[in-house]
Amino acid sequence: MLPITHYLYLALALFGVGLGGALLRRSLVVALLGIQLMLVAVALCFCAYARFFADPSGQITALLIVLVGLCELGVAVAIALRAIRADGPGAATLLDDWPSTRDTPETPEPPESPESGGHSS
Amino acid sequence: MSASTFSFFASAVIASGAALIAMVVRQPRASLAAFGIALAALIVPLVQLRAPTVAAVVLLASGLIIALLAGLTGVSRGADAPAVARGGRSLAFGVPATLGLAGFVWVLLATGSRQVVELGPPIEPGAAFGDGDVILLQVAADHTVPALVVALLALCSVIAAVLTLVFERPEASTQSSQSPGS
Repeated sequence: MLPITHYLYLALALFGVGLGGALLRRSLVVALLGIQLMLVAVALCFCAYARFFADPSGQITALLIVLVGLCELGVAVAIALRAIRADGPGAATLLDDWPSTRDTPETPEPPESPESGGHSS
Repeated sequence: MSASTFSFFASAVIASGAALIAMVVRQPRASLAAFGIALAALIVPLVQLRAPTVAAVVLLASGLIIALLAGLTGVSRGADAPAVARGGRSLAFGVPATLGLAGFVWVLLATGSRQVVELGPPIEPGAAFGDGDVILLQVAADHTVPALVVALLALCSVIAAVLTLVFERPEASTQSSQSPGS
Protein backbone atom coordinates (compact mmCIF):
# COMPACT_ATOMS: atom_id res chain seq x y z
CA MET A 1 0.00 0.00 0.00
CA LEU A 2 1.21 3.47 -0.83
CA PRO A 3 1.66 5.95 2.01
CA ILE A 4 -1.50 7.72 3.02
CA THR A 5 0.05 11.08 2.20
CA HIS A 6 -0.15 10.28 -1.51
CA TYR A 7 -3.91 9.96 -1.33
CA LEU A 8 -4.22 13.01 0.88
CA TYR A 9 -2.19 15.11 -1.56
CA LEU A 10 -4.40 13.93 -4.42
CA ALA A 11 -7.51 14.79 -2.41
CA LEU A 12 -6.04 18.18 -1.57
CA ALA A 13 -5.32 18.88 -5.23
CA LEU A 14 -8.83 17.90 -6.28
CA PHE A 15 -10.35 19.96 -3.47
CA GLY A 16 -8.30 23.01 -4.46
CA VAL A 17 -9.28 22.69 -8.11
CA GLY A 18 -12.93 22.31 -7.18
CA LEU A 19 -12.81 25.24 -4.79
CA GLY A 20 -11.21 27.44 -7.41
CA GLY A 21 -13.79 26.50 -10.00
CA ALA A 22 -16.68 27.02 -7.60
CA LEU A 23 -15.44 30.43 -6.53
CA LEU A 24 -14.02 31.88 -9.72
CA ARG A 25 -16.47 30.75 -12.38
CA ARG A 26 -19.90 32.24 -12.87
CA SER A 27 -21.35 29.38 -14.85
CA LEU A 28 -23.78 27.38 -12.75
CA VAL A 29 -22.72 24.10 -14.34
CA VAL A 30 -19.05 24.63 -13.53
CA ALA A 31 -19.84 25.82 -10.01
CA LEU A 32 -21.87 22.68 -9.36
CA LEU A 33 -19.12 20.53 -10.82
CA GLY A 34 -16.62 22.24 -8.53
CA ILE A 35 -18.75 21.53 -5.49
CA GLN A 36 -19.11 17.89 -6.49
CA LEU A 37 -15.36 17.67 -7.01
CA MET A 38 -14.78 19.01 -3.51
CA LEU A 39 -17.17 16.45 -2.05
CA VAL A 40 -15.47 13.60 -3.91
CA ALA A 41 -12.10 14.82 -2.63
CA VAL A 42 -13.41 14.72 0.93
CA ALA A 43 -14.76 11.22 0.29
CA LEU A 44 -11.31 10.17 -0.92
CA CYS A 45 -9.82 11.52 2.32
CA PHE A 46 -12.26 9.48 4.36
CA CYS A 47 -11.44 6.34 2.37
CA ALA A 48 -7.71 6.92 2.87
CA TYR A 49 -8.11 7.28 6.61
CA ALA A 50 -10.44 4.29 6.70
CA ARG A 51 -7.73 2.19 5.09
CA PHE A 52 -5.10 3.64 7.40
CA PHE A 53 -7.05 2.85 10.55
CA ALA A 54 -8.62 -0.35 9.13
CA ASP A 55 -12.07 0.94 10.01
CA PRO A 56 -14.82 0.81 7.40
CA SER A 57 -16.66 3.69 9.03
CA GLY A 58 -14.73 6.07 6.81
CA GLN A 59 -16.04 4.32 3.71
CA ILE A 60 -19.57 4.57 5.03
CA THR A 61 -19.08 8.28 5.62
CA ALA A 62 -17.74 8.64 2.09
CA LEU A 63 -20.83 6.93 0.73
CA LEU A 64 -23.08 9.29 2.69
CA ILE A 65 -21.10 12.31 1.47
CA VAL A 66 -21.51 11.30 -2.17
CA LEU A 67 -25.22 10.69 -1.67
CA VAL A 68 -25.73 14.07 0.01
CA GLY A 69 -23.87 15.69 -2.87
CA LEU A 70 -26.26 14.07 -5.31
CA CYS A 71 -29.22 15.39 -3.33
CA GLU A 72 -27.78 18.89 -3.37
CA LEU A 73 -27.21 18.67 -7.09
CA GLY A 74 -30.77 17.53 -7.72
CA VAL A 75 -32.22 20.47 -5.83
CA ALA A 76 -29.86 22.90 -7.56
CA VAL A 77 -30.82 21.58 -10.99
CA ALA A 78 -34.50 21.84 -10.10
CA ILE A 79 -34.11 25.46 -8.99
CA ALA A 80 -32.16 26.29 -12.14
CA LEU A 81 -34.82 24.67 -14.31
CA ARG A 82 -37.47 26.64 -12.49
CA ALA A 83 -35.59 29.87 -13.10
CA ILE A 84 -35.16 29.04 -16.77
CA ARG A 85 -38.85 28.24 -17.12
CA ALA A 86 -39.90 31.41 -15.32
CA ASP A 87 -37.80 33.32 -17.86
CA GLY A 88 -36.69 35.87 -15.30
CA PRO A 89 -34.08 38.54 -15.88
CA GLY A 90 -31.21 36.35 -14.73
CA ALA A 91 -32.35 33.15 -16.39
CA ALA A 92 -30.70 33.95 -19.70
CA THR A 93 -27.29 34.36 -18.10
CA LEU A 94 -27.65 31.56 -15.57
CA LEU A 95 -25.38 29.17 -17.39
CA ASP A 96 -23.22 31.71 -19.15
CA ASP A 97 -19.75 32.44 -18.03
CA TRP A 98 -18.20 35.74 -17.06
CA PRO A 99 -16.62 36.88 -20.35
CA SER A 100 -19.92 37.37 -22.15
CA THR A 101 -22.16 38.51 -19.32
CA ARG A 102 -20.24 40.62 -16.85
CA ASP A 103 -19.77 43.79 -18.83
CA THR A 104 -22.84 43.69 -21.02
CA PRO A 105 -25.88 43.13 -18.81
CA GLU A 106 -28.23 44.99 -21.13
CA THR A 107 -28.05 45.85 -24.76
CA PRO A 108 -28.42 49.64 -25.18
CA GLU A 109 -31.11 50.84 -27.51
CA PRO A 110 -29.90 52.42 -30.70
CA PRO A 111 -30.18 56.21 -30.87
CA GLU A 112 -33.22 57.51 -32.65
CA SER A 113 -32.62 58.99 -36.00
CA PRO A 114 -34.39 62.25 -36.93
CA GLU A 115 -35.89 60.59 -40.04
CA SER A 116 -37.81 58.10 -37.95
CA GLY A 117 -40.21 60.71 -36.58
CA GLY A 118 -39.22 60.29 -32.94
CA HIS A 119 -41.81 57.61 -32.08
CA SER A 120 -40.80 55.47 -29.17
CA SER A 121 -42.50 52.60 -27.37
CA MET B 1 8.37 1.60 -9.30
CA SER B 2 5.76 -1.06 -8.84
CA ALA B 3 2.65 -1.42 -10.90
CA SER B 4 0.41 -0.11 -8.13
CA THR B 5 2.56 2.98 -7.68
CA PHE B 6 2.61 3.64 -11.41
CA SER B 7 -1.14 3.19 -11.72
CA PHE B 8 -1.74 5.51 -8.79
CA PHE B 9 0.40 8.28 -10.19
CA ALA B 10 -1.06 7.86 -13.68
CA SER B 11 -4.60 8.02 -12.37
CA ALA B 12 -3.72 10.95 -10.12
CA VAL B 13 -2.29 12.90 -13.03
CA ILE B 14 -5.29 12.09 -15.21
CA ALA B 15 -7.77 12.98 -12.47
CA SER B 16 -6.07 16.24 -11.55
CA GLY B 17 -5.60 17.29 -15.17
CA ALA B 18 -9.15 16.43 -16.14
CA ALA B 19 -10.52 18.25 -13.09
CA LEU B 20 -8.47 21.31 -13.97
CA ILE B 21 -9.70 21.18 -17.55
CA ALA B 22 -13.29 20.81 -16.31
CA MET B 23 -12.94 23.96 -14.26
CA VAL B 24 -11.12 26.00 -16.91
CA VAL B 25 -12.83 25.15 -20.17
CA ARG B 26 -15.75 27.35 -21.17
CA GLN B 27 -17.97 24.88 -23.01
CA PRO B 28 -20.33 23.16 -20.55
CA ARG B 29 -20.29 19.87 -22.42
CA ALA B 30 -16.50 19.81 -22.45
CA SER B 31 -16.54 20.52 -18.71
CA LEU B 32 -18.92 17.63 -18.16
CA ALA B 33 -16.77 15.27 -20.23
CA ALA B 34 -13.62 16.26 -18.37
CA PHE B 35 -15.43 15.85 -15.05
CA GLY B 36 -16.48 12.35 -16.03
CA ILE B 37 -12.91 11.47 -16.94
CA ALA B 38 -11.67 12.83 -13.60
CA LEU B 39 -14.11 10.77 -11.59
CA ALA B 40 -13.44 7.69 -13.70
CA ALA B 41 -9.72 8.08 -13.02
CA LEU B 42 -10.45 8.26 -9.30
CA ILE B 43 -11.59 4.65 -9.37
CA VAL B 44 -7.97 3.47 -9.31
CA PRO B 45 -6.98 5.06 -5.96
CA LEU B 46 -10.33 4.09 -4.46
CA VAL B 47 -9.85 0.46 -5.46
CA GLN B 48 -6.29 0.58 -4.14
CA LEU B 49 -7.73 1.79 -0.85
CA ARG B 50 -9.98 -1.28 -0.89
CA ALA B 51 -13.10 0.77 -1.30
CA PRO B 52 -14.76 -0.76 -4.36
CA THR B 53 -18.21 0.10 -3.06
CA VAL B 54 -17.31 3.78 -2.85
CA ALA B 55 -15.74 3.57 -6.31
CA ALA B 56 -18.92 2.09 -7.75
CA VAL B 57 -21.07 4.73 -6.08
CA VAL B 58 -18.76 7.50 -7.30
CA LEU B 59 -18.96 6.11 -10.82
CA LEU B 60 -22.75 5.94 -10.63
CA ALA B 61 -22.88 9.43 -9.16
CA SER B 62 -20.69 10.80 -11.94
CA GLY B 63 -23.07 9.37 -14.52
CA LEU B 64 -26.05 10.93 -12.77
CA ILE B 65 -24.28 14.28 -12.40
CA ILE B 66 -23.34 14.36 -16.06
CA ALA B 67 -26.87 13.37 -17.11
CA LEU B 68 -28.49 16.02 -14.92
CA LEU B 69 -26.20 18.85 -15.94
CA ALA B 70 -26.25 17.86 -19.61
CA GLY B 71 -30.03 17.93 -19.45
CA LEU B 72 -29.89 21.34 -17.80
CA THR B 73 -27.55 22.62 -20.47
CA GLY B 74 -29.80 21.27 -23.20
CA VAL B 75 -32.88 22.84 -21.64
CA SER B 76 -31.18 26.21 -21.34
CA ARG B 77 -30.11 26.05 -24.96
CA GLY B 78 -33.60 25.20 -26.10
CA ALA B 79 -35.39 27.52 -23.69
CA ASP B 80 -37.23 29.17 -26.54
CA ALA B 81 -38.60 25.89 -27.78
CA PRO B 82 -42.40 25.59 -27.58
CA ALA B 83 -42.33 22.43 -25.45
CA VAL B 84 -40.38 24.12 -22.69
CA ALA B 85 -42.43 27.28 -22.94
CA ARG B 86 -45.60 25.26 -22.44
CA GLY B 87 -44.09 23.48 -19.47
CA GLY B 88 -43.32 20.29 -21.35
CA ARG B 89 -41.55 17.40 -19.70
CA SER B 90 -37.88 17.36 -20.56
CA LEU B 91 -35.17 14.81 -19.90
CA ALA B 92 -33.91 16.82 -16.95
CA PHE B 93 -37.38 16.55 -15.46
CA GLY B 94 -37.83 12.87 -16.15
CA VAL B 95 -34.52 11.73 -14.68
CA PRO B 96 -35.02 13.11 -11.13
CA ALA B 97 -38.68 12.21 -11.19
CA THR B 98 -37.93 8.62 -12.15
CA LEU B 99 -35.11 8.42 -9.62
CA GLY B 100 -37.38 9.76 -6.92
CA LEU B 101 -40.09 7.25 -7.65
CA ALA B 102 -37.57 4.41 -7.87
CA GLY B 103 -35.98 5.46 -4.58
CA PHE B 104 -39.33 5.66 -2.89
CA VAL B 105 -40.30 2.20 -4.09
CA TRP B 106 -36.92 0.87 -3.01
CA VAL B 107 -37.30 2.34 0.48
CA LEU B 108 -40.74 0.79 0.79
CA LEU B 109 -39.53 -2.62 -0.37
CA ALA B 110 -36.38 -2.52 1.75
CA THR B 111 -38.30 -1.54 4.83
CA GLY B 112 -40.64 -4.46 4.41
CA SER B 113 -37.96 -6.99 3.60
CA ARG B 114 -36.04 -9.18 6.01
CA GLN B 115 -32.69 -7.53 5.24
CA VAL B 116 -33.43 -4.65 7.56
CA VAL B 117 -34.55 -6.89 10.39
CA GLU B 118 -31.89 -9.61 10.26
CA LEU B 119 -28.41 -8.19 10.56
CA GLY B 120 -26.44 -11.40 10.40
CA PRO B 121 -23.40 -12.34 12.46
CA PRO B 122 -21.36 -9.62 14.20
CA ILE B 123 -18.45 -8.18 12.26
CA GLU B 124 -14.98 -8.39 13.66
CA PRO B 125 -12.84 -5.25 13.38
CA GLY B 126 -10.66 -5.35 10.28
CA ALA B 127 -12.21 -8.53 8.93
CA ALA B 128 -12.99 -8.47 5.20
CA PHE B 129 -12.16 -4.80 4.98
CA GLY B 130 -13.67 -3.16 1.93
CA ASP B 131 -16.16 -5.91 1.21
CA GLY B 132 -19.45 -4.45 0.07
CA ASP B 133 -21.54 -6.85 2.10
CA VAL B 134 -19.59 -6.03 5.25
CA ILE B 135 -20.05 -2.32 4.67
CA LEU B 136 -23.76 -2.65 4.09
CA LEU B 137 -24.11 -4.83 7.18
CA GLN B 138 -22.19 -2.31 9.23
CA VAL B 139 -24.39 0.49 7.91
CA ALA B 140 -27.42 -1.42 9.09
CA ALA B 141 -25.84 -2.40 12.41
CA ASP B 142 -23.78 0.53 13.63
CA HIS B 143 -24.73 3.49 11.46
CA THR B 144 -28.46 3.17 11.27
CA VAL B 145 -29.29 6.69 12.34
CA PRO B 146 -26.92 8.50 9.92
CA ALA B 147 -28.04 6.25 7.08
CA LEU B 148 -31.68 6.93 7.87
CA VAL B 149 -31.05 10.67 8.08
CA VAL B 150 -29.28 10.69 4.73
CA ALA B 151 -31.98 8.53 3.20
CA LEU B 152 -34.67 10.89 4.44
CA LEU B 153 -32.68 13.87 3.20
CA ALA B 154 -32.35 12.24 -0.19
CA LEU B 155 -36.03 11.43 -0.36
CA CYS B 156 -37.07 14.92 0.76
CA SER B 157 -34.69 16.60 -1.67
CA VAL B 158 -35.93 14.56 -4.62
CA ILE B 159 -39.54 15.24 -3.66
CA ALA B 160 -38.75 18.95 -3.26
CA ALA B 161 -37.05 19.00 -6.64
CA VAL B 162 -40.00 17.37 -8.33
CA LEU B 163 -42.47 19.67 -6.57
CA THR B 164 -40.37 22.67 -7.54
CA LEU B 165 -40.65 21.67 -11.15
CA VAL B 166 -44.33 20.75 -11.08
CA PHE B 167 -46.00 23.48 -9.11
CA GLU B 168 -45.86 27.19 -9.76
CA ARG B 169 -46.83 30.05 -7.49
CA PRO B 170 -49.89 32.04 -8.64
CA GLU B 171 -48.13 35.40 -8.53
CA ALA B 172 -45.24 33.99 -10.51
CA SER B 173 -47.57 32.62 -13.14
CA THR B 174 -49.39 35.95 -13.46
CA GLN B 175 -46.10 37.79 -13.71
CA SER B 176 -44.83 35.45 -16.35
CA SER B 177 -48.08 35.71 -18.30
CA GLN B 178 -47.76 39.47 -18.50
CA SER B 179 -45.45 40.53 -21.22
CA PRO B 180 -42.70 43.03 -20.35
CA GLY B 181 -43.93 45.56 -22.88
CA SER B 182 -47.51 45.70 -21.60
